Amino acid sequence: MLSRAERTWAARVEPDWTVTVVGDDRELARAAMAGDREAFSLLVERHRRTVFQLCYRFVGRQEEARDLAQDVFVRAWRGLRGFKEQSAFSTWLYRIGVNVCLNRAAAKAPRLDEMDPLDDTASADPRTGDPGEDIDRSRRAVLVRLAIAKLAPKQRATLILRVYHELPHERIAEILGSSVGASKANFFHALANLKKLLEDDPCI
Amino acid sequence: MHLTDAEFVEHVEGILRPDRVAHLESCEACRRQAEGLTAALADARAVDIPEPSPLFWDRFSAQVREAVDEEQPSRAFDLLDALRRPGIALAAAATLALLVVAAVWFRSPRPVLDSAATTPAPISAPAVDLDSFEADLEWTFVATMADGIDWEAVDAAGLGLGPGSAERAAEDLSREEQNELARLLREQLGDGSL
Repeated sequence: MLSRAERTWAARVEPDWTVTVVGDDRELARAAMAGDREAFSLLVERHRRTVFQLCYRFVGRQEEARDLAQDVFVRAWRGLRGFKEQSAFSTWLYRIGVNVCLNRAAAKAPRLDEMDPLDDTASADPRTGDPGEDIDRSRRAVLVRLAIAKLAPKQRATLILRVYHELPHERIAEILGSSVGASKANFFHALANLKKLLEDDPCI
Repeated sequence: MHLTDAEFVEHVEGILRPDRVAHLESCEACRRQAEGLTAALADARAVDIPEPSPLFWDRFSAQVREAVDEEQPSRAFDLLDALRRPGIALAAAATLALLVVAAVWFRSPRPVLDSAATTPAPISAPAVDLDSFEADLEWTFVATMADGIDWEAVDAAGLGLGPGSAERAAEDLSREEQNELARLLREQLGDGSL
């Protein structure tokens, strides 16, 4: 089923279409570049979840992640003509997102008391149903989030893109403007430092 | 040889070459390191994030749309587009030339007037000798260029002179730069009659 933005865009581009055909990201980006705000709305709809999750992984608060994600899209709109189609639109958007998040992280490090408490069910183990175990798991998850927040910017970005967004190192390198080797090295150091932070201090 | 950083990453991602896996199995130090990294990765993977409601997404999209609607098209690109239009391009060139000449004039030694040797200079802004100023070759060039400029178009393109523009230009350019810029302008405009 087409979303509202998709219907609006598809109907305007080709009113006689009866089949669900909606442009790919590049087509939409080109249309948006020409000033088509509906095409841009469609891009927002397609990528909003990914961008929001990226931001959430950096800041750990829904409200702040929403503001950052909106900022990412506004910057994308402003900079659309800078999208040269040498990479995928999503890669370009990731690049903006990582920059926005790293700038935010540089200005203000997340604190444990500022992070959203995790949803009680988010980390619950359905196999045990043991509330005590759930609390331990939830506490561990909070500590891991805090430890990730303490990683160096590129290590943190690499870990988030690799683990949570499951991007290959080639794509991470493209987003961060580095090499595949650098991406692997960042990932190695991110994991090694994460391990150390978790071992060293239970409250990080 | 112990595993490299990249090979440890390949191990946790399950793509380590078999001969290196054999080393890992026989090397205590590498195995310990690999176990630590695997545990850290498992810890990271276990952290979930809440999924916002559909209402959140509707509101999110609406807010982005609102923010985008408030945005003016990128000024830099508007300027480029405007400069591609012949009228605006001419106005821009003339404005730039005005700046250059103003800069040259401000930085040039003032002509010594007959009375200057005996009369102290006034404290207020220096008087401009318009006759000698207009006779200046650079000024003639600019006056010719400026004739017929559509100043509304200049303002629309954001190229209008603001207070102190000439002074700022004068501070930024050396004499050689001013001469070179004037020469380039003539060359770019391609009008030998100027």
